Amino acid sequence: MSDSAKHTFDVASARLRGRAIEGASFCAIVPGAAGGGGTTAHFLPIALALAAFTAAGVWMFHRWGGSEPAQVPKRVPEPAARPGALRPDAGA
Amino acid sequence: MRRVPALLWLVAAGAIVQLVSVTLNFYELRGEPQGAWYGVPHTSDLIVASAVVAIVAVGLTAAGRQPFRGRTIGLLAGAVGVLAAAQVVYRMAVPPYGCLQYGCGFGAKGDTEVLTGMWIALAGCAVVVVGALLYAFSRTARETPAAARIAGRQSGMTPWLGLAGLGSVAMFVFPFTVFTLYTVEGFFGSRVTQPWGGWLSIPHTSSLILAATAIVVGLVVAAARGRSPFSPRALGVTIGTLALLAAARILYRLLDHPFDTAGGSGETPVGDVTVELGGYLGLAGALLAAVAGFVHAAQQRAPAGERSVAGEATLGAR
Repeated sequence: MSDSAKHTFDVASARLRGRAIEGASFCAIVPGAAGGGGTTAHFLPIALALAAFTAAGVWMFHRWGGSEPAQVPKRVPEPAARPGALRPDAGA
Repeated sequence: MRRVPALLWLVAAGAIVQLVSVTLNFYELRGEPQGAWYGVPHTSDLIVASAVVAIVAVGLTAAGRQPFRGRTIGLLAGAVGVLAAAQVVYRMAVPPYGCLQYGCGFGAKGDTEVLTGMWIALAGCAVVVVGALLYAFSRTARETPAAARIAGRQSGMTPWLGLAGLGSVAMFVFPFTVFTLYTVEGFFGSRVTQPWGGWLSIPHTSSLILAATAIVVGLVVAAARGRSPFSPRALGVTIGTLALLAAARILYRLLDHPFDTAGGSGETPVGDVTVELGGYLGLAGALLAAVAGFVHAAQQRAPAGERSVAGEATLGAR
């Protein structure tokens, strides 16, 4: 390997190692990314995660599917006038 | 515009120093300067996040639109600043060049020198932390109530908002946590196939997507509590646009892999790079969030008679 190729390799590998260790250390701060190495390519964990997301989506439609918009003024129907009752504008 | 306390000006000054610092070199490795942005990408992102939180906190307080009480604002900016400062101190003691494993100890520093740029970053973080915490415990902060911007019309929770939140979580979880994003063959002549997650291989993209996820989930939770800062239609458009930008960024990284340009060279020896299921599921999550946001917006047209009176309100946050 020539000197320049070795230098390129060193810098590239150092940078990549930098990224690797950087990610690993930051994972201690972000619990959700614990592990961070992305080594789960097996079908079962992905299928389980997908099933959990799908179940959550179905639950959301079940929970909020029929909800009315909040704080939108609703028209309250006026009570029907009883037979014989005085109208508000009736003269005294 | 209200009078801004001197301590908040100090926080803003520290934030500017933080932003400048990430453009500087942090290390010298065997005589070669190494920049912050690519040398310690997640640390750089954390410094930028601290600066953005500080500037937004100062800006909203100056405009009289602070979403939380003064003390909470100060504590929040201070907490993010402490996180950034701690990460910078750690990276000064243990530079990223030196060992593959996490936890190599202080002996892994090797022949890496810390440059002035990193000290400037630490100084910026320290100024933000000191200014924000002094402000948090000041009389001014104690007497500053929340004045959150809350839209006059609220949609409440809808299944489309729920799907948008769910999709935004998926767009981070699948590509950037424990699932594999790429498998790489022949990287630097390696004979084994290496699995890579997005958190390590595309660090700035992972930070961007994490930020987008946090914003979308925050907006959905605010809408569910009836305290959204945007009207229902604007909320849907905002969420849809954010998710669409996230989808574009993920798609770019599915098409343009980071491995063949490692080390800043376009001639890095690398074999086949395969995008795994995690990447496609992340893209699907982002697209789901985008579609759900825009559908929510389309369903939330204000009735004709209410459009003229639908304004915004400024209410004290709980």
